[in-house]
Amino acid sequence: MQVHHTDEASYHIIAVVGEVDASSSIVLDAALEEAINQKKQKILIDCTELHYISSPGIGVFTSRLDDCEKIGIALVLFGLNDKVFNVFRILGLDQLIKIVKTKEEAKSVAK
Amino acid sequence: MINTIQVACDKHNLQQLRQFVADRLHDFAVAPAEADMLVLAMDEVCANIMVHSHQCNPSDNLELSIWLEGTRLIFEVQDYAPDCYFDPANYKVPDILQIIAEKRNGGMGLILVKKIMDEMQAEKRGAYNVYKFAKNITAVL
Repeated sequence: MQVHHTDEASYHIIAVVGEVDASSSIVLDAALEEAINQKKQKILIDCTELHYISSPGIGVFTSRLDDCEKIGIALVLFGLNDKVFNVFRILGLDQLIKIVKTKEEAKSVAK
Repeated sequence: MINTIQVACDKHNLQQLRQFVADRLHDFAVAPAEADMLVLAMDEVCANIMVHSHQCNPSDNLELSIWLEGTRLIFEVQDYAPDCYFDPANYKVPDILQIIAEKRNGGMGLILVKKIMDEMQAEKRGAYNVYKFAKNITAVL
């Protein structure tokens, strides 16, 4: 599993590639923490190459959602395949975390 | 057909376990979307056992078996942990809003297992813990 950081204007994009499970979620957690510590205000998580996620990966977002809201950071996920989206949906997190289909939508939501 | 796999309690073996479950469910002609969720459930169960019962000690093992009883899929996980016993049937599902408010990164695995599986039970067989899960298969290829 790999993460790639890119900046597009005021948006910070973290692309997640591969499978996020109990052994690899620490990599995603470190990437998100780094972006928050760098005071990025609009963080978009690119999931187009994310093939699998289990609860430790989901936990990366639930553990930081409250802080992001309080600090005023826009955190938006986009490009989830059906399998990955289903995990968020089963937990009811599709109603609590901003999840959209495309990068353009994510930028619009994060404005 | 080999329906049992044994792995060391190392989280890096979860990918191998997922592949094993996916292959067996393909053999049993389980519909892909349903199979994806069952793979996830077994990943969560095995990860929990590795972390909470064995502290990821690679000297310890767990064993996962899968078989079909009619239209009922059975998953059985065994581990040797004399001093540890957890009954998932008595697990109280936490509120997801509470998890977010407490900034927790855990506690959701068993929520997923409970929502995906139709039945789950645990028992002690000597020093072994045996966790058994059942799923009624509604869609096949």
